[in-house]
Amino acid sequence: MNTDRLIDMLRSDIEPVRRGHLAGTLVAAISVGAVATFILMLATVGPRAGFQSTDHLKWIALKLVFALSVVAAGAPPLYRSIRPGLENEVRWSLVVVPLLVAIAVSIAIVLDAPRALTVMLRGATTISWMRCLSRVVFFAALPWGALIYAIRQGAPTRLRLSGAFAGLVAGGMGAAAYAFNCTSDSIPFVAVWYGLAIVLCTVIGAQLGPRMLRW
Amino acid sequence: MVCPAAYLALSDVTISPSVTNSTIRSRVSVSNPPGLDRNQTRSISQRVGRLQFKVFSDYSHATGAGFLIGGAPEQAALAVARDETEWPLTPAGADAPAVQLDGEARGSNATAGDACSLSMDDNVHPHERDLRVLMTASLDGDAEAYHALLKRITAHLRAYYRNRLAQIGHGPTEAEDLLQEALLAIHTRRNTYDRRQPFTPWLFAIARYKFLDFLRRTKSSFRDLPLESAGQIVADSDVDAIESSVDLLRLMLKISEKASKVIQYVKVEGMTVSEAAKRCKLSESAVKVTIHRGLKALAVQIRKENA
Repeated sequence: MNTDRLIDMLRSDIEPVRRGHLAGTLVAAISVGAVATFILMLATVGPRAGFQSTDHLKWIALKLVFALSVVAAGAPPLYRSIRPGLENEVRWSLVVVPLLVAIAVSIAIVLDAPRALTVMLRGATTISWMRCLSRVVFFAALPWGALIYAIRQGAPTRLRLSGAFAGLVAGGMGAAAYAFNCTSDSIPFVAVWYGLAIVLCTVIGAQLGPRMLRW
Repeated sequence: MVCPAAYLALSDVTISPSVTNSTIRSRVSVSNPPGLDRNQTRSISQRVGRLQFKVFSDYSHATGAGFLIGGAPEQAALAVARDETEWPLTPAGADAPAVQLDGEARGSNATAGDACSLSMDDNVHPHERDLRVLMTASLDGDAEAYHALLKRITAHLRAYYRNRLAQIGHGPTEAEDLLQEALLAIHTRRNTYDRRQPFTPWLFAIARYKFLDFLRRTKSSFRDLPLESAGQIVADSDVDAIESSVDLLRLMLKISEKASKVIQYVKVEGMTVSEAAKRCKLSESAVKVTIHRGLKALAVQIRKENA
């Protein structure tokens, strides 16, 4: 078929494009993913016992701040990565800030009381770390799906990069959901195991990206 | 916000044939221009040196050495190529290398949206300016502007793909297939263009993506590409369009009878949307949606076909 015919065809499908359309899609995907994974958390493991107590709420809030700051740092570069022409202006530097802050605070705490480190890293039970990793990844799955949908509405030209950022943001949301269930209350635990879980999600995302995002 | 600030002609650029990443780091020399004292020149050079050069997409391969850099408008500089290029960087001849500083900084008050196009006035290549104006109008729903835009894009992309595919031993028919695929991609993804962003990098990021995707699908590789081919390029964009191997209408039938019928009415028989709506007993918006979805499905289908 002649290319001119194609051009004529395309011309017939010219709907005005709203400004900020793509950003809206991404924000919607993040919101939907967040709600979905929160409901999933309630339906499966549920919030920790006695979460209403001030002490527990304080820890939930602290973990949420960490997890959501990862989401907040990861979303803008994710958005840039799905806009052709901006995909090379994506920077990792801001994204690692939450992780670095958490690690820095952990180090400060550990320097204060070196012996407490193993206890802090161990968490509430001996399998806490494993539970943390697996549940964060598990709760990241739904937001990941929503993000993949949104990314496919955009035009990712560096698929591995977009996949990695999607994994990072989804990991942050998974960590936020798990924060309600987690009973290991120490900052080193959050820095190491939450951080590792999010990194794991990022790596998985980078692996899946090229396969799932091609267009 | 990064405004398109200047086109620099680069004399000392090594273009590596690796295209996995669309930026190249390169040493750049800006000749000492008459009429400017050294300090100013140096500040330009330093600024240039720090930037990662976004390849003015693969345009530059096809047409000479025009590179786009982003920067604040007040620091914009326009340099003239040492070697004459097919893609003239200034309307006048390039006899005397010169750098002009746009001290007025007209775009410094640029805000979201249109204001950025003001800052382009003096510094930006006319092609970029025209295409961007057309694109902005298209996004607002101007069909005539869109038609003009597609025509011009087609000419550029045809040259680009023929060139690229010739380098790895494919003929113009495949290039035409790829061109059509790219046009459909540009169409269905035009919501990813931000009106504040320069247009040509957007366009060529998509074009390049489609090219690399083609390489992956066909298992071709740039390793087959001889090094010297990066330099010797003849763009033959004026060659008449040739038929692509893919029959789009046949593909369309595969996707949805309704969509192909509606498009047939609107495009081939020249009905208006409302007439087609009556004929198909659909609402006008349903006709529009049908066309839209049909084209999206077509974009997927054509990609499979080209594999």
